[in-house]
Amino acid sequence: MIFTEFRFFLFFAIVFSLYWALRQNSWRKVWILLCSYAFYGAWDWRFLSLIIGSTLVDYVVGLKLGKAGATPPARRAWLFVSLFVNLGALAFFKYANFFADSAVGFFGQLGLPVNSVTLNIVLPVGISFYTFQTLSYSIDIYAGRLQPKESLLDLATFVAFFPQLVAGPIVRASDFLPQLDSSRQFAQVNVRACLTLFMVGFFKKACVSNNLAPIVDRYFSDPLAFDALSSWIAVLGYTTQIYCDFSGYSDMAIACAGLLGYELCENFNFPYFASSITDFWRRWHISLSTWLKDYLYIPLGGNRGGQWFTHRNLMLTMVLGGLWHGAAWTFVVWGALHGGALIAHKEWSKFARKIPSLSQPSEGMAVVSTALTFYWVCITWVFFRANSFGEAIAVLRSFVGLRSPGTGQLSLSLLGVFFVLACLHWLTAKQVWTQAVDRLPGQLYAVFYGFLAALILTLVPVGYTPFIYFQF
Amino acid sequence: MSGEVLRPIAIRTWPAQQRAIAPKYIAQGLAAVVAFIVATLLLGQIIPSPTIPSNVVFIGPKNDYYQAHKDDYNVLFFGSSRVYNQIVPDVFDTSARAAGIAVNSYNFGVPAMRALDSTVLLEDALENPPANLKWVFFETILDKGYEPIPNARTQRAMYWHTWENTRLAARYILMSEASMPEKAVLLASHLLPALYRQMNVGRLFAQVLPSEFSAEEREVAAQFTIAEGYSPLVDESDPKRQDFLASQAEYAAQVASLIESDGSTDGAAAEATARSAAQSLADSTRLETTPSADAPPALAANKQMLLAKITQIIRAAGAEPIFIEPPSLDPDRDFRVALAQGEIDTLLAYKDPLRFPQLYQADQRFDSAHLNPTAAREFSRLLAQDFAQSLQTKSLQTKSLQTRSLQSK
Repeated sequence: MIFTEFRFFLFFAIVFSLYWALRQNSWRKVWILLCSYAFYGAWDWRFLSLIIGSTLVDYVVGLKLGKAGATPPARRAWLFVSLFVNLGALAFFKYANFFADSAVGFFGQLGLPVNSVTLNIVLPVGISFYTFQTLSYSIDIYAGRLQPKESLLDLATFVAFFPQLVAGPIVRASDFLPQLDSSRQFAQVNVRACLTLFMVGFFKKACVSNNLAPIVDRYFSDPLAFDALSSWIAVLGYTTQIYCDFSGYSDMAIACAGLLGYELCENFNFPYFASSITDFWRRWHISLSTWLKDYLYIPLGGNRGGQWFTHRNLMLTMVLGGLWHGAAWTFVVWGALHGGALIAHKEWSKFARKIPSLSQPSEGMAVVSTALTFYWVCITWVFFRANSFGEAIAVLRSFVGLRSPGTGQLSLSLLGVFFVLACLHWLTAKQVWTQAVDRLPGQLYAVFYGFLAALILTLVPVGYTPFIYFQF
Repeated sequence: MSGEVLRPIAIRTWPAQQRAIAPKYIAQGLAAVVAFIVATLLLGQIIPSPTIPSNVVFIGPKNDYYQAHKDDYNVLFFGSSRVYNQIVPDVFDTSARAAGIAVNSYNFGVPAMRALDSTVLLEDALENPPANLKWVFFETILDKGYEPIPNARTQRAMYWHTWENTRLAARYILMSEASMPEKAVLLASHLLPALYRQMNVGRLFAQVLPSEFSAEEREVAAQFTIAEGYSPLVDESDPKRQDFLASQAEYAAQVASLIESDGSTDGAAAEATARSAAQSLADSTRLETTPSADAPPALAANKQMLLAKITQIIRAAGAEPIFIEPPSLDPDRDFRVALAQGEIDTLLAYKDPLRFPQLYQADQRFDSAHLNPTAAREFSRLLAQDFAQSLQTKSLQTKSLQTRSLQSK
């Protein structure tokens, strides 16, 4: 069940109605938990046991960590249990085959043939997301930033909360658990903002991302058959597709949670308008980048050591971040390219601070740096999307080297579509239409919403396209 | 609550209010619903859907080709993959011509077609019939009428769910012998694609940015266009092919079971029954039959209704319907029952491993449900031969009737 399906609307209507009809907060939480499990079970009910198991382990670990008089070695041991169980499940389900195949390839290169063992493992949807959430709970208690939750119901609701269960945002326990303590008031829900946000997310996912998907797929299925201009259309297409897919999902998740009275963290902030790669990572998948910063980069030492120590930590964080997205070397390269760019930007910033004309960049310079950042991000997406390293290089020869390996062409009209979308995005960033919508009287807003919903449906491509980030 | 798009609106926190807000939201909700319905109806008028859109997998390209060349054909084949992958127009035409009948045929078979969508496709294709159309061969399984819910938002399911066609589906289901809960599920399976269609889902997208078929789909479309609608099953790596090769014993058991299902569990008796069935099949090519005393159970009312509709559509197009029972393992015998009851006039039946061993031998099959290209050619040849024979029989009967009529005068 995905947010753009008819059955989700039916599901959410039932969840929403009964949720607000219930008076007691505890019953509401029970209802949300049951619905969340049903939502997840709609994919594969067998993997519910993983979520429940992870919840139980972290519940016990949390209580043990918070227990007065627990010795530091005991606390470390309990934290290790949480890390072992959560990361162990992630490693098994997501990376077992990757590591096995890589080992076979490595030993093969050394002339030591090893029999390949490929397990038929199904990746549980959203495992990367809820694993990070449960880890944040245990780590925060260990670090003294959070008190353990005595209510198993609260913790289970936090882990399984269906709007963000399968593709984020990665919600911190310290942000979400306090919201479960008190009963939410419907009068406090900004219904209009939630509904508009949902529609925007729906448009991004269903009308933009899903329409671009077959075009991008067609190019990446055989990049050598197309000319250089098509490589630009395809790479720009994928750049747009992945943003609209993921930020669209986040918008809908935030809106659904908001309609139930809960606040989820912001996940995107116009990342393609970033003026540098550092700025990009402050705007793209914010919940992941801050998670990686707080739970990986800083524990590794952050920038507390010397220059090389900082660079090492930065690169390690980004490479592991890349691997989090998918079990393939192309994702590792994607992470490494971003890590390298972050290091380069760090050094450039240090250098620029010494030169007055560079420390206060002009408007023209800002435009150039935004364009350069965008171009670099596009290049890195090639590794993210390509089916193999060789294919990524072939695409880059065409995209960066402007060499046409084939004569096939994607429709040039797509460049016009990108221009329209870019204008719309810019107007949104400048808050032009959002303010106009906010000023509409209630009844007029309702009519406008009904008309817009009908129009948007005509742009929804037929056929089912799952969210890209579900695979992570 | 915050989101990148609506930060200026969303971060405003509203004070908890005690006053009743439900009436306000109900009124606004109703206004939104009314606006949605009005806009949907307007958009439906502004962007009408073609009867058969070009971007329906298999059906669109087949129909586009057919519309451009339909007057070249006097024979059309409709049905599922058992027509699409098993009837070779070229072989059929050559064999029929050798038997003295000048035909030029087009294979309008489409994989995974069922009774209802086959009927609708037939009706749409024959709305403006080919000028020279004489015969329409029709194959289908008269199933329960279920439309797979996971396919609801595909062009293939949506395009034919007009109110009129959905009513036909509802009638077919309601007239069936299914239980009430089953009927409810079957009806619901049509409601979703019908709703999507009425809400114009993907309508503008389909016209402004037509969906690109996958490379595989485009390759197949190019292939069947050359072969006048026929597509041979040749992909040895196909999972169904691999399953078939790995389960030969199971296939042999299914064939034996099909023979036994003709009336006996004893081997020798089964063979005798099968021979008798073969005779009955040979007889079934007669144009007029009368129900026999040991006729099988009556055909369900919904199936009668659909067969009558199919017959009426074909006759309205100035052609004669010929029903086909392909050499499958499916145990249903609806067409034979229909023939015995006089619901249909002509049936060419090949579901008989004893009479047509060349179509059931394992080395003649691509998988348990389909023939390989060699057997497909043989099947097409047999079909043409029987078709010619049935025409000759009809011609003799007509002459005999005319003679009797003159004598009585």
